[in-house]
Amino acid sequence: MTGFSKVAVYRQELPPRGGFTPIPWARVPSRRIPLWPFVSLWLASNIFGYFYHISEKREYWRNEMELDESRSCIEPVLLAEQDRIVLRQYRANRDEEAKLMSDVPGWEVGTWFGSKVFKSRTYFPDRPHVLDYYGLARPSNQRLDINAGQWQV
Amino acid sequence: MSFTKDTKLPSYEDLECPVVNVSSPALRAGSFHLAKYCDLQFKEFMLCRQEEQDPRKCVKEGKDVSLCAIDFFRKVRDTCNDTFTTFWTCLDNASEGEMGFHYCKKEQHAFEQCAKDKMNLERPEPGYFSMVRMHDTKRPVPSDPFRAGSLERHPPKLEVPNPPTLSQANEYPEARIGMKFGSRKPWVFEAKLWD
Repeated sequence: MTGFSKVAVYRQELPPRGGFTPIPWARVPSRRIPLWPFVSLWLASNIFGYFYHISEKREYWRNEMELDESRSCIEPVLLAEQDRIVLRQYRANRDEEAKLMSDVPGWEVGTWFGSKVFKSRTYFPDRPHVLDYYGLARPSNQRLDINAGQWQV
Repeated sequence: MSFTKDTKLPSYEDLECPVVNVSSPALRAGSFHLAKYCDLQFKEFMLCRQEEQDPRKCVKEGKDVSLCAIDFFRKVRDTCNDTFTTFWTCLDNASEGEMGFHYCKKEQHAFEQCAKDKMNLERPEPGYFSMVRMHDTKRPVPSDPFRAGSLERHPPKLEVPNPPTLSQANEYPEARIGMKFGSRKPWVFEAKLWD
């Protein structure tokens, strides 16, 4: 027993004094909130909304009817003015065409070298046609009325 | 562009008429009372338009319509101008440019009250103008059955002649083929459709 080596100094990892703290192993139920408030609110809004929606629909269609009726009431005024404007334009177009095509041989005004658009002598178009109205207009004037289809009264 | 010298277009003097110088929200604002005030002229014009199907034949009725509308708006301007102006400016400022009446109920009530008091014009109930309205008129029935719009009032009196024989093929070339208007419907009779 000679030559004891030096003992290395070490520190053991031991549990703390008094032991470890207890590990929580019991079940922890999750937080819960009651369902009945939400369900009752949803049901109430459904029931209330059903009747409200029906009354709103009635009111909506009442307003729509009013708009349609106002348009029907206005229609004769606009139609009369439109007729006059259109007839004036037809006359102006016819005169202009006579002036333009006066030097073209074989051209009769309103026909395609003799063959007419309207074969009957008593027919007149009820509604104005784009070509009849804008036929002799320059493109810059034609473009003025692009939005005419969107006009509403 | 498709009218020859034979077609009778009314002259510029015939078409002279004062313009209803009223903007669209004002037109919409006064529409119901206007239709009540000018009921006769409107109905005559629309009847003429539907029966004759020809704008040239309804120029006089159209002038009556325009003059009556101008008269109405002049009357409104003389008596109920304030309420009418607030009403149609409110309609003009309605959201989305729709000019819906439900945005301006108060002004509408004010204008209706004024119209009832001062102009003695009561606006008909809301569903009135959607219903079919009858019109008693002295207008003569148009004689052209092929251009009639409504067939109930005057059933067309067609004197149906015999169809053309082959010997008349020079005059009525359809006799050769026996088909008119393409093959949509067979040729049934030649009733002088084009005179």
